Amino acid sequence: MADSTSVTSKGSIWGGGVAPFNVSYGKMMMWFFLISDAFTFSSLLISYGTMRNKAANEHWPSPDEVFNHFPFTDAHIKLAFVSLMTFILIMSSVTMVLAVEAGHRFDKKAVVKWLVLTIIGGLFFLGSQAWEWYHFITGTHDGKLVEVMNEQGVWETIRIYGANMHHNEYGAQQFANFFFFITGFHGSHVFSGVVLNVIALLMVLNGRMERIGHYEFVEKVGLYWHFVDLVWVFVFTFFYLL
Amino acid sequence: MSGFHMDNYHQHTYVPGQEIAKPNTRWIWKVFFIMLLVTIVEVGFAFANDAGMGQTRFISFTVQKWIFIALTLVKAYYIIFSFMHLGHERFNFKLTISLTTVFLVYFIVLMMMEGYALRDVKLKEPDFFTRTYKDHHAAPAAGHGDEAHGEAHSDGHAH
Repeated sequence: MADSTSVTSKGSIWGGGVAPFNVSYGKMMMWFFLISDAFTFSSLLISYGTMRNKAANEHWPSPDEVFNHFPFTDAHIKLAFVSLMTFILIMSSVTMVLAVEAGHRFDKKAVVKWLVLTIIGGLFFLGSQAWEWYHFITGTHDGKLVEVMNEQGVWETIRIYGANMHHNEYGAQQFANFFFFITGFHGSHVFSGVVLNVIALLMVLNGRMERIGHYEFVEKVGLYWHFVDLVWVFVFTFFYLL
Repeated sequence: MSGFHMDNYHQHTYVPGQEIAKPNTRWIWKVFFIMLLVTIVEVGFAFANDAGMGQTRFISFTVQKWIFIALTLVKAYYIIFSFMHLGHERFNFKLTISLTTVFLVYFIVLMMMEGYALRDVKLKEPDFFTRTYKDHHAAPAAGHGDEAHGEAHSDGHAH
């Protein structure tokens, strides 16, 4: 099995000289970092749920009202574009795991190929997210009439378009704020994932992995990248499906 | 200590000029198709059980919600245990990583209940979350209920 041959009895693994978890320090620390990051994202999504429960009589926008655009068409198909984004991210997760698998076999050419495809997938995802934000911020053609109190304390009717941190034509303000914060935070993770992938690619191209004798860096970047995909799976469910 | 990696982990050290083994990618594509299928089922379900345009749902939204959450957990399981390789790590490491998330269960239950409690407060007193500190104190008390409160009140006069 994967267990080390130097471990003779179960009690001795914490006695020093061997790695008790049978993973390297760097990989273990990546896991611990991901756990802490998972708690951050969980807190954000849980507070989204709390505010949604609180919303009561306020209108909580459903995704088919907000995210129903598709590039290069005027058609309004709900969930189509975000399903495509999900597909792109799952796909890039697959290419990442293929890169890790190739790294185990020291197949440098394959590692380069799969890492490049992963980077392309990540960039496509970021572009899609920018497009999604653009449509959410711009809003519908007609906008929505709302009553607001001006600086003199007088109520007046104005027309608002799209959503930002001050107004949201689709419904509850909290929806817009959480959308920007959570997808923005996730997007910044995707961005740093792309940067890490580029660094890994340069290291591989440099022949550094052969020099140090293993492809563990690719594996660690892979863990991070899969985590980003994992977070998106939850964001997809709680923002777009429910 | 370059031998460290070789001895303790399922890592092989690179030997210059070594032959490249055949790829073993079947399991990766298997997991990919499972995740793709689950996503297609989710999106299809969202379409089929749509309450838009005056139609009624064939399954209540509560049931739909729990189906989606269950399918999401299925996907999460495959990402963590297959793609992130946690399923092949040693048992103590699996426990270390997965048991930590137990705290989230408590957190979720607590905060969902909190959300419903806040909703009840809001429905009872619609301006509870929008009125300011000053409004709280300027609110009509037992003695001077008829008094109008607005610009006329200075801060000092309010109480």
